[in-house]
Amino acid sequence: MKRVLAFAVLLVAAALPTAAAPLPAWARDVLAAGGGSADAPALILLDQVDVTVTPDGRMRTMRRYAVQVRERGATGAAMLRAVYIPGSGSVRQQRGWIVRETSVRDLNDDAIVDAALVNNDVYNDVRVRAISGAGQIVVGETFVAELETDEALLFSQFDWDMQAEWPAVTLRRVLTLPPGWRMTSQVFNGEVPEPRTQANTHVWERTSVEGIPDEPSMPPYSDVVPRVAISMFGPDATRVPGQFSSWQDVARWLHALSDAASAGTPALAARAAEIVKGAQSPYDKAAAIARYVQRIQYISIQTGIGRGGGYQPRKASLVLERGYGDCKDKAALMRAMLAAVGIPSALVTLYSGDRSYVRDAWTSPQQFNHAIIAIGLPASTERSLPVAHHPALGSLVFFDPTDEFTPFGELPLTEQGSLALIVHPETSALTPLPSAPQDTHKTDRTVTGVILDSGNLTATVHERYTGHMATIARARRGSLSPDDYQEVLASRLGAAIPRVKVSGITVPGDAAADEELSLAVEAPGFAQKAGALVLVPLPFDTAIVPQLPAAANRKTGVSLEPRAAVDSVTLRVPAGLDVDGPPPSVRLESPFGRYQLDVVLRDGTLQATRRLEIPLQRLAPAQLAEARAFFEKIRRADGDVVVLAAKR
Amino acid sequence: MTSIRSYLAALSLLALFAPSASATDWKPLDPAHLALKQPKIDPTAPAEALLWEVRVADDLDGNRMPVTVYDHYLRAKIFSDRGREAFATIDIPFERNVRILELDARTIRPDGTIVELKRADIYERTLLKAGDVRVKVKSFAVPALEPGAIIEYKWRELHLDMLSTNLRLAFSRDIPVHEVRYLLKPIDVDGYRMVAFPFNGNFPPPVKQADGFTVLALSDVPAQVSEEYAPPALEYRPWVFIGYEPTGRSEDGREFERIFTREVADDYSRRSRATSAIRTLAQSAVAGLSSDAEKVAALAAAARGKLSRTDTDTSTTAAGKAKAPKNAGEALTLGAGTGDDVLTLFLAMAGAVGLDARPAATISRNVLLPRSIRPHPAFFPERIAAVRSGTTWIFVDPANEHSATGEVSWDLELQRALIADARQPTAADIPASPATYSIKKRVGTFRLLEDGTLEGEARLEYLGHWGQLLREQEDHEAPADREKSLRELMTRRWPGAELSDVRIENIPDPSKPYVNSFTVRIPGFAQRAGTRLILQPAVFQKGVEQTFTAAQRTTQLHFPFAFSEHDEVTITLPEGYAMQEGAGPKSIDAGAGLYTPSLSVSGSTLTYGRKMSLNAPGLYAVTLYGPLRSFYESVHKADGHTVIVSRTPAR
Repeated sequence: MKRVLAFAVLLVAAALPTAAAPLPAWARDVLAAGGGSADAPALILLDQVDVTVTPDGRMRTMRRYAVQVRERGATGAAMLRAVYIPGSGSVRQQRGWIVRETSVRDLNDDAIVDAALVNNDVYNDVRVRAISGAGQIVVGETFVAELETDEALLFSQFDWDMQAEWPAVTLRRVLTLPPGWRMTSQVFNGEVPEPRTQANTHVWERTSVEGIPDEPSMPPYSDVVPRVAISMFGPDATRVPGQFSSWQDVARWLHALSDAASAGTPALAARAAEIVKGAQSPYDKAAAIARYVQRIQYISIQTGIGRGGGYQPRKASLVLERGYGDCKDKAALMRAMLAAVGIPSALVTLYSGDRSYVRDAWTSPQQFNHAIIAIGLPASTERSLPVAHHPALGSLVFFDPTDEFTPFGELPLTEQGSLALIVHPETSALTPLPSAPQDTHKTDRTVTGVILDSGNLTATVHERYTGHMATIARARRGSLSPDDYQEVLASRLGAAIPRVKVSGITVPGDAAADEELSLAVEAPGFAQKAGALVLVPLPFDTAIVPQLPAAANRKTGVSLEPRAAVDSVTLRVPAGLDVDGPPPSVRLESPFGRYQLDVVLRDGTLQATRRLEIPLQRLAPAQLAEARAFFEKIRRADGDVVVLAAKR
Repeated sequence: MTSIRSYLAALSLLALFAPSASATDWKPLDPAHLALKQPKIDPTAPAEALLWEVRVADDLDGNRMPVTVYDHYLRAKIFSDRGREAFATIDIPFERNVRILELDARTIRPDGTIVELKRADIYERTLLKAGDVRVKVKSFAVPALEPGAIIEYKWRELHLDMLSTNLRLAFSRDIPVHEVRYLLKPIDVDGYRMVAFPFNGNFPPPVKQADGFTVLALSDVPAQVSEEYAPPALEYRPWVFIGYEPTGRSEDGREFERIFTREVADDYSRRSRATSAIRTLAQSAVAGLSSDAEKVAALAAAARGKLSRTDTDTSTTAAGKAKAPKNAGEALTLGAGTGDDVLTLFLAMAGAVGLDARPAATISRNVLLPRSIRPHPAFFPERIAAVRSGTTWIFVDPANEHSATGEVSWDLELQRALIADARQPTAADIPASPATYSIKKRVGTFRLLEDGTLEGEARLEYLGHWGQLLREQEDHEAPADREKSLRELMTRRWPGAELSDVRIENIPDPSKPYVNSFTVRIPGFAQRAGTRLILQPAVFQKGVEQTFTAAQRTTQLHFPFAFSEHDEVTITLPEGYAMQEGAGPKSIDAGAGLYTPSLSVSGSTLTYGRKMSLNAPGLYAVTLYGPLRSFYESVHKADGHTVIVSRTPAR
């Protein structure tokens, strides 16, 4: 009964409205100073974060925010939010106002939203608290808010973004440390003025900051937004956790947290033995285990994040029993199984989603969000495996058991080339993950068919994908229903062959690293008659040619993933026709890629070969116009039509 | 305090509704289901539900407050990795006043061994807390799931302060179902009874069991499908409507209409009395107008213009949000109100100038078509106005924020409306607008360059229902987002196109057409063939995918409204170039659909016109899919017609 009463008291307390509060002095000052003349739907007048660290390792953060809404579609800017982890952190207070000239409206409890930060995990501690004026603010008004949080430090490290979606008059970040503490800071992705320091307070400030718009094909925000990364060091490392001054510190901390999860059990050993039955070499054994773990269901359950739970795998035996796990759980299970068959391995952490996110200069586990595995396998002469060397583990092959569509021996494209940490006590530096050669990511398309007198096409399309292209194709096949898969394939082909009808799909097999498929297709009216001429389009994979955004007013660059294509087209044409005029032959080469097209008509058969290679690249805004022009030339060449006429 | 009361009520309910099941009372498993290797209903199904059962019991709690208890049970067989993925996690979201109890799950492996879900592996968290809204979820990951396994899970839901009335019970899922069963136990309250209307399935007659539950069942239900131009889902998926109604109410539709229209009339007559301010406003609005239609439009515009909306995202001020007006007079004084307040004000104004204006009840064609309407208030949730004009009715929706003069939106056209009357029920069909009302007008003035680039200006106008639909979609978007969407749409059709001077006009002003205009440069628009250029004159159709490509069709077809498209394209050819002779595309007349292209050349200017209309909206039988697909295929082919442009020989 006591618990019921306590619950009732809590409910009553929660129902109390937030007391009306006067506009704070800082807000009055900001409003008096006024906004800039930036031509933007919203203008941030002030975005200030004050972090105060206490000697016992707690961090109190006060956010102050004022934004002027200038267009109706920008009301979303009228929101201030903070992420927190119940148990180790809390929101101490939040207050908000909407100001129009001299009138001030208090935002009440209805403006406060508390939500799970991640919705697709089975469980995740992390929450977000927001105070929002978006539903109430109108054009011309200013949203003002304060939000204060308190949390226990997991790491004595954090980073701050120094740019936002909307332009800002002032962005200010303030760090106050206890006496006897020191800090180091690094700036990534651009320039931020050195901090002003007075006693133990450090202030970073940017003024008249442009907004970063959401532009198509832009690099990840994490690679665009300037950020300040900070490491703090207290006098007593035992009282303040998460102080790292070297990568070895980080590796040892992660190792201590995660290694026990890979402990073997008889059940694990028995299952591993069953899986590798028949496999002879260490490579084949590792590949068999990799395939098994890859098919374990990915499930994310994140508990105890404020105490390092996000870095701690579940026990491998538990993952095996439950039949599911997240990235680190799968890596731990795979480690345990490999150990059971005598193959050494290590957990590897990295950042998934932005291969240039992890920086060597900031020795912090905060930079990682993903786990894969490094397997100690001798360098193979039979198979070309991307390997790295580790002082204690020797030659290593990397594998991501979370990505169910990238086979053993390859790495997901987004991870290739990124800096990773091999979680082993002897690790002293980050390791660049290996990258496959650029032309690995290739689509080979062969179209063999007949153009009938009616202009209709009957053909077989054979496609073979390798590298990242194979991963995409495999994911498409694995995640779609048979009907949807056929529809998607028809839609893809439709770009090259209008009105195409796919009547049969043959997929050779699952096990191969390469993905292949054959399609029987028909297309009415493929070749058009124009008087005495017959116009034959060339059915190339045009979707592979990048569509770059316009260069005008572009703020961010463009990321292009590597890709290659070889199209071979062999079409029997109606008897008595010849090419009218010279068949197209094109060669294009630039830093943005290479292209080659050759067409001949021989013995009544039209043969066209087209090759395209585009390397991994980051285009600066200034390069966009030139790159667009190059890809326009390719599209024009792809669009060339072969004109046939009666033989003279 | 509601929360405390409902919490205590939930505690009392725990005793009132003894657990329906324990860990040991899973339903008996048919060994044939475990042995099943292939799906029974659809060979491509990733999983099939073997049994889906929901028991629904209405009762009163210890405080004599209503409560509904749902006992859910699902058993499914997994056939592939896609099926495993689909059932990997189970989320049961619930809101305030709902309690989730007795959640259990287990997996039966292909070899028959059973893995029970452990209590510790069930997680509960609050997804969202905002004002009075609280959404929680109970989640779990299904253990040991693999193709060949059977998963089953069950839980009990207590819905406090509510009864199972006006519910749509779904009998299909995204996977096929071998057997669906709903067991219903209505509350025994004097003067009320439960009615059930089944739809779209061969439902056997309901069976009343000795325990008081009535069983509604259906077997071998295919998975839900989604096809383009399908009718609303409730028109082809199996479902059952359940609701309470007074015991004395006759099942005769006419009697229902008499009572229902009287209730609606009573409801509005109290609130739509004209005050002197309303009379003045109304008289001013119709001054100088003679026809009923003109007056109706003017009154709707005036009512709409006088009230700032407090219930839509187009509201521009917070004024009035705190106060709900009790009648039309109050709303006018306040200058703010909901859509229903706008309707009430319109009715008061119309009455003040001597028009016979009534509230009318109907339902959206997005929900149900007239053939599925049943004699129950839940089938008439929308309110508009009907104004008598001679022997006919003018239907008007003053609350339609995307029409300046209260034209009804497409989804109310063709629906049956019950017109409120204190004495005698009246029903009428809301007429459909003609194809000339909803027009997409595209005008392009372009120049073709020698390298195949097309550049020039384009203007796209959307009238009638097209304009309303686009306003509805884009009203809440930022201008930059609207522009981005337009750019993305056009560059999907015209790869490599560069758009500049993009304008999206008149979104806040529904009295004007919704317009997109831009300057465009499309490299490689015309294909090169040696010294010739191959040009598609239907510029706006280039890159548009064909409608209806699937070989087979499962559901009937549903065209929302009649419409027409008008294209006017002029292309100036490069200097010294001329079009080679050739026949242009031909007209296509498919009865309901008409397509008329035109192509002419004058000097170096090519003029292309295209008119297309769909004149008969509504429902089409599956058997008409072939002819319709054929029509669209012919249109797509005709749109793709190309002409050859080549340099004229020097003289």
